[in-house]
Amino acid sequence: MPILPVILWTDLLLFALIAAAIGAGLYVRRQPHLRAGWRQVMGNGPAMASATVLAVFVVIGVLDSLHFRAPLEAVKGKAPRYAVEVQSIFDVLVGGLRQRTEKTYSAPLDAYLFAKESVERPDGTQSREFPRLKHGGAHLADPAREADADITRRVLSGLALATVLWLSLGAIIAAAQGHAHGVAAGETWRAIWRGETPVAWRAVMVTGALLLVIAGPVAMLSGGWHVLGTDKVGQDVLYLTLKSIRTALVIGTLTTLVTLPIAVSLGLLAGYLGGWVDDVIQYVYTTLNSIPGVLLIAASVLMMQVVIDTHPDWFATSAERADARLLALCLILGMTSWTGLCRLLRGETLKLRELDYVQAARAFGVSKLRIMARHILPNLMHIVLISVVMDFSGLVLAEAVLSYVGVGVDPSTISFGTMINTARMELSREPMVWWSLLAAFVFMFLLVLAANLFADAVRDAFDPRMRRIVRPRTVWPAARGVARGAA
Amino acid sequence: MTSLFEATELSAQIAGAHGTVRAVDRVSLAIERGETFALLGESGCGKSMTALAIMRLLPDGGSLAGGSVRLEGEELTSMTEAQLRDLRGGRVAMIFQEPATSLNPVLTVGRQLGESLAQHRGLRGEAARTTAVALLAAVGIPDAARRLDDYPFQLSGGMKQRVMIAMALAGEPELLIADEPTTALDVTIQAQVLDLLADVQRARGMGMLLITHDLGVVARMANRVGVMYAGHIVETGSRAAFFAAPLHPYSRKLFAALPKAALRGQRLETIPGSVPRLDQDFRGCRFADRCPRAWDRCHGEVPTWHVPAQGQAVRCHLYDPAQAAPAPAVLAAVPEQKPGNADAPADLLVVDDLRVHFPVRRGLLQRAVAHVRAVDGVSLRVHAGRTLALVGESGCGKTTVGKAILHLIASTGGTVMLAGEPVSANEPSRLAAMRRAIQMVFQDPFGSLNPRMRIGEIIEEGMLALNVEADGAKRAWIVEQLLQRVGLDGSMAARYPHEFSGGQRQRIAIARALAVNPKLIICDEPTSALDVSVQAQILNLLRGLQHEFGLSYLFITHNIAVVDYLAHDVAVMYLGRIVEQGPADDVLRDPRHPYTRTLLAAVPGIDGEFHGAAAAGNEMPSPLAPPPGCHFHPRCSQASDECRRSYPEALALGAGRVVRCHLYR
Repeated sequence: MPILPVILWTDLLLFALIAAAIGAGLYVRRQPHLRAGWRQVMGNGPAMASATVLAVFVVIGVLDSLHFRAPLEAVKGKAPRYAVEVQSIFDVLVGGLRQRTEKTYSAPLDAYLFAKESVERPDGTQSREFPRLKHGGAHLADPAREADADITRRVLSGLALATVLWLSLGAIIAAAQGHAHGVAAGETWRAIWRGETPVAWRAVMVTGALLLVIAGPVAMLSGGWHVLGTDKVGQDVLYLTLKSIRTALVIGTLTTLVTLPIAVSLGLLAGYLGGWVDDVIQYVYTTLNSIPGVLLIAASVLMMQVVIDTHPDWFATSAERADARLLALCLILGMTSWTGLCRLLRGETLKLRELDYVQAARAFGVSKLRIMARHILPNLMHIVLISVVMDFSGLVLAEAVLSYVGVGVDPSTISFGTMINTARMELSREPMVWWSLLAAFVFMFLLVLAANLFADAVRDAFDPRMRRIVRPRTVWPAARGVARGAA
Repeated sequence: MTSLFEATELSAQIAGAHGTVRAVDRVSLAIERGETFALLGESGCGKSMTALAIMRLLPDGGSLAGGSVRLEGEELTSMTEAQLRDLRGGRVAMIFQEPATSLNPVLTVGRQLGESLAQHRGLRGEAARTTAVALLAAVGIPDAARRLDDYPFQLSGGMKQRVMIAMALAGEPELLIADEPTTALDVTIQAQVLDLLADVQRARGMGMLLITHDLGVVARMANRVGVMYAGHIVETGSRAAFFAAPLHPYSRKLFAALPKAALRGQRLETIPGSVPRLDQDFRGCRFADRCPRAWDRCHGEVPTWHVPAQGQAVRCHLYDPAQAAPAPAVLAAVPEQKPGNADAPADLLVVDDLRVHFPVRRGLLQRAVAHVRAVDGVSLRVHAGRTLALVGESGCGKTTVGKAILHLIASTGGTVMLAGEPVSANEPSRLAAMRRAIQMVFQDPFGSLNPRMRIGEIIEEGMLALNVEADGAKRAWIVEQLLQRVGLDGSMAARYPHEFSGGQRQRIAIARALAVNPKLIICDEPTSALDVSVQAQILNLLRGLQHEFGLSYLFITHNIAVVDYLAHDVAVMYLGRIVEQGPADDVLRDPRHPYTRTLLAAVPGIDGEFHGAAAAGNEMPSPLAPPPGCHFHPRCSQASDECRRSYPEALALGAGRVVRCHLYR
């Protein structure tokens, strides 16, 4: 039975962005100055380590963006019907996690609920006790005695799985690199560990090892336990945090799609044309800047919400409605956050337009549009790149803050912000429910830290004001005397 | 007795992308008290690195690789950083090239001087202030007590360099290292600063290490000369001996590459190739690849020092007594080219009463409260196939004239006629025609090419914008031809500008201008950022193109030697106005206007004589508030009351000469 693919707006834009990134990669390959910069980024250990972490997040986010509706039982002679619920490939892959919901809170790796309930004994008497969970540790007859052994067994098998995966990852990298440079895989493997490869594969391998050491056991444990506990309505917190990743990525990347065209075009126009154009653009962004950001965003979001609520017929499913609100949030964030980059680009354009090569182009009567496109824009791209990468983490955090305030994503959308918002109440319980806040915190921290470290490396590589100290290093494979082709 | 300063076999290296760069390689030199040792060489030869190595101020990734540095017998290379900090600015002081960036813009002059006084002489408070005033007065800053509270932006370039010298003197140094101290200054200011340096050196008996690329400065200042090439000193000698007979082929080439009037109409000697990369191991002489007299031995054996004459030493196999040097290769006789036709040529470009005023806006409504008269009534004639040089100090409005002719800057008044047709910004077709006929070559070879475009695209751009050639294949062919014409390889069209040296970039800029077949090229100081040998190549190229295509040049420059070599006519500009113009020979041999005389007198010649002190005591006034009457009168020794009252009218002296001075009325 065929499934019905559902393409949400954010999915579409996310894939368009990925396609654009691939296109940009191909373009960079042909531009020596950009290639040199990226090569420097790839040779940077911390950058590659954070890129590895980011890649894991992106893979989860992309898998979570392939949506569909499962078919319902077919009735002969009628058009096939589909479930109202929209799922993603990621939901299918971690299917168990999504479906194994409990009644309410339960602590990580616990077999009992967090709160006492009245339970009817088989003999008819009633007592208040912690009832057993429906899924967490349900396979054990006596959790108190068997839990430790079961968890140890699962952790060990998880570690074994991690080792196998890690070694095969290493083998693939070594084989591929060795093939590309015409060196034996074993030799490449050793070169990676001596840190002689031009790309910092050692950092990738070490980060991969750390991630797998955590992910392997977690994966094995989550088959029978709630590794990070459950929330108020009994949803697995691990599942919630993993689902939040897509929301964070969408906010962090799609917003720049809105920001960039505005910031780049207005910055260029203001800087190059000057005069009244400059005055108008400066007036607009100083005015926009002087309105408190959260107020402006709150007002816009509430307006959007009214529009969405009054037109229920626009959306076939609740997922589509939540998605519309997510997209609207991206648009609003984008409309309010272009001013910083615009100001930066205006200043740089003011400097560039006095340079001799722009004067020379003017002496040839080259049109203004063409001068901006061919002479000024390419020389601004490093600023754009740096600010996009650096804004990413800021936007992820902004989503958390806005959702906490209640003007962020739709309450039905799973995000770090909504998790933290609900955690507010949980923290005031006695005894305290700490795990969902901690889970959201750790994942968001990892994502933002990785993004920041990566952004730093990108800035070091592309910002001409960063002083570069050339550190001579043995270059592989030339160091081994097996370089292909003479220098 | 030991020398004041002695460096022996000093080596310094820097980590580079392709290996270790030996920027300074076994350099030995000694300086006595009261003596000036000039280190001469082109850029990239390791002159500045030598100075930094002496001070142990090497950039990140750099380190001393050997040798010793002694100041009065005391070893500097083994000193701790703390000891060195006392030494730097104290017993050894340094002056840098760029006065604009050597002073901290947010501290007053007094504070910056005080830092040095407190560190090295323990002076604070009133004592420091008194000393600082005395120092500023000693470097010729008028009204020193008031200047102490000024910020650097309130001082002119020459004043800043004087303050730098005062700061260097604050620690009462025994050795002063001056790294291109006057390169960023105008000739008249350069003459004053050099005088000042010579005076303080004489008064204090300091030793001085003068680093420069300018033979004229060497001739003026040095007692002894060391020529540096590719990290090595290749020749040393006393000034007199060096200027009488330079020994090393490189030194000789440097002399031959200097443009001068006697060489007018001939090709200048050039040095083929460029300074070799310093991250390689040299097996022979470093200059061998570019040397016209090199033979097998030069490529296989590193030359040692030879002393062919008293007081002169050279590192060249030619002077090995045991070597029967091969007869000097006869240089290919440079064909004498006939100078441009002398019969009265047609006017190509006539500029009449050109004015460019920039409004100074103040207040809430941005009303124009005053005007900077950058160009104030300039009239010029450029003849077809000839070169008009526009000469003047920086800030006099030369470049603005060039840009206003091209309509890169809107002019306030006046007319520009091109081959009899007026050019106006209001008519797009005429403007496009003008842009085909007039093109520009800029000063900074690094700023004039877009780093993100390929060479081919850069050259093509003008052809596309002006519809010179619509067919892509033909354009590519033209680009290749142009590249070959300017002495580059046609296949270089696919490369990016960063792969080229300064001289090559300037060739590309010339090819870009040529692409639209212009009749006139405005050259805005095209060689001032280049080394002498490269300058010679570019001047040869420009002259060749003039002969081939009958091009006219409007050559904007402050370099009198280049004018003497290249120009047919000269216009001297001062504060937005032309003060004297006429045929080059007449104006340069027999200058009439006092300003022209000052300018010519300030140029240090390589004959070692100095033609009297520069009369112009002050610097150029601001064009915002030009002095009443003749603009030059505050600097003029012959100024009369008449000069203070009225600006002199243009006075024709016959033979095309015009001067604006009351002396000739």
